[in-house]
Amino acid sequence: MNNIFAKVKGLRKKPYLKLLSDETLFENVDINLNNCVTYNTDHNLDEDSWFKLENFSEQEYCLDLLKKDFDAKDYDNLTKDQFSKISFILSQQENNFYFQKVTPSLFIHRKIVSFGEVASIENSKDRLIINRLPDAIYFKNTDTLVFKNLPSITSIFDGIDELYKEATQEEVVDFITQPFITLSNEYEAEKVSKPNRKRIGLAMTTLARLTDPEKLEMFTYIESYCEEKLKFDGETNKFNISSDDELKMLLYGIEQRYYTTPFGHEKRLANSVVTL
Amino acid sequence: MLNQAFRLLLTVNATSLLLIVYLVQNKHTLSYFFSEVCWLYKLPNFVSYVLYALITILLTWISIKLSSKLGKDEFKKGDVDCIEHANNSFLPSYLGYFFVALGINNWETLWFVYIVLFVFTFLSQALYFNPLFLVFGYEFYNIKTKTGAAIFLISRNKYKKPEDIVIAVANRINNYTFIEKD
Repeated sequence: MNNIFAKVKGLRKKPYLKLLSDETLFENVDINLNNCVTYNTDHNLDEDSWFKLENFSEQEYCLDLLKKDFDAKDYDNLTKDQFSKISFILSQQENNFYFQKVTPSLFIHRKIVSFGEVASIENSKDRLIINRLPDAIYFKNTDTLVFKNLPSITSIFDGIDELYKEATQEEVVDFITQPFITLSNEYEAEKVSKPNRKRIGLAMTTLARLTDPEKLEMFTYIESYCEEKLKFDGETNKFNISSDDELKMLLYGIEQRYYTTPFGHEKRLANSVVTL
Repeated sequence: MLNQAFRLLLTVNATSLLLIVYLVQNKHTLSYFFSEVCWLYKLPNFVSYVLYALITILLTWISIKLSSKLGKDEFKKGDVDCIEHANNSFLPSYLGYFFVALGINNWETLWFVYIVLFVFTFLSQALYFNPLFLVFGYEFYNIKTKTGAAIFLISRNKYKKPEDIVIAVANRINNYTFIEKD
C-alpha cells in the first residue's frame, strides 16, 4: 500500500505524520541509475538526467526514517491545523520514497473559477500544489538518492550542502597566490565570485595531481585556447588575472574543458562533463 | 471532519449501555416518552427494552460500515511481533457501567454522570470498548509490531500467531486502534 507522509515544522519528537493512505502522489519515474551522474558541483545536468548519491543510508545527512524498517502504522495522522506547517512531503511508493519540498508559494489561498456545467467560484480553501516531478527520490533497494537540484533538497536532508565543495577564503588565497598567477586591476581574493569558489575547490584537487612538467604543458594548452581572452607571459609562465571572467577561463583550462572536434576542428568549451 | 463525527458515534455506542440500564431499571418504557400515543400502553415492557437495544445495535452496525471510509493501513507478513487476545480485558470496565447505572435514580444525576463518562470516553483512546462488536463477531487483539509500536486490532478473524496477521486493508480508527473489516 502506498502512503503519503509529511514532515511538520515545530514538532520535535514526532515530526513525521501520515497525510493520506492508499494514494500515490507521483507518477513512477523511470530512472536508469547507471545513467545518472554522481553528484558534482560543476556539472550542468541535462534536462532528462538526474544526479545520484550512492550508499545514501551511510551518509550523515540521510534521514533516520530511511535507515530503519519503514512501517506506516508507526506514524500518527496529520491534523488540519498542522497543514500550513508542512515542510516537505514524502510519498512512499512501493519500496521507494519520493520527496517534495513545500514552500509557502505552493499553497493556494485564492479564489478559483472552476468549470462544471456552469462556471462557479470556489473560495480559497487550503490547497497544496504537487509538482510534476519530485525534488528527490530514494530507492531503498539500491540505497541510492537521486535529485536534480541540490539547493532544493538542503532543507529536507540537513547537512547535505556539505557536498557543495566551495573553497574557503584561505583556499582561494592559496590558489591565487600560486606561482603561475599574477593579479592586476585590483583583483583580489574578496572579489572571487561564488561559482568560481566552487571551481577553485575542484581545481585545487586537479592541480595537486599534476607534476611540474605536466603543469607547463597545461599552460601551453590553456594559452592555445584562450589567446584572446587570457594574457599569458611565456617567459615567466604567469597568467595575468584581472577579472572574475578571466579567472573562470583559467579554471576551465585547469579542468581541461577546452577541446577541438576531430571533424571540422572547431574549438569548443565543455560547460559540463561526464566521464565515459 | 469525518473522523470527529465517527469518534462521536463510537462514543455514543460505547456509553449507550449506561442509558439502557438506567431506562430498564426505572421502568421507563416507550409510553413514558410518548404519553400521548395510547396504544403504546398496551405493549409489554420488554418490547420497549428490546427496541432500545436494537437502536444501539443499529448504531454499532452503522459505525462498522462507516469505518471503511477511514484512513487505511496494511499489515504485511512479519510486521507483527507479538499478539494477545483481548476480548475479556474490557469486561471489568463494562461491569462498572452497570453498577453506576443501577445506582442512579433521577434524570439529573443520569445526565451529569453520562456527560462526564461521555467526555472521558471521547478523549481517551477507549472508544472501541463496545461489547456489541462481539455480537457482530469481532475479536479484540493487543498487538506489538516489530518496530515496537503497541496497537489495538479489531478483527473478525481468529488470530493466534503473529505470522497469521496479514491484512491488505485495515482501517485506522485512531492512531492506536485499527479495524479489519472481513
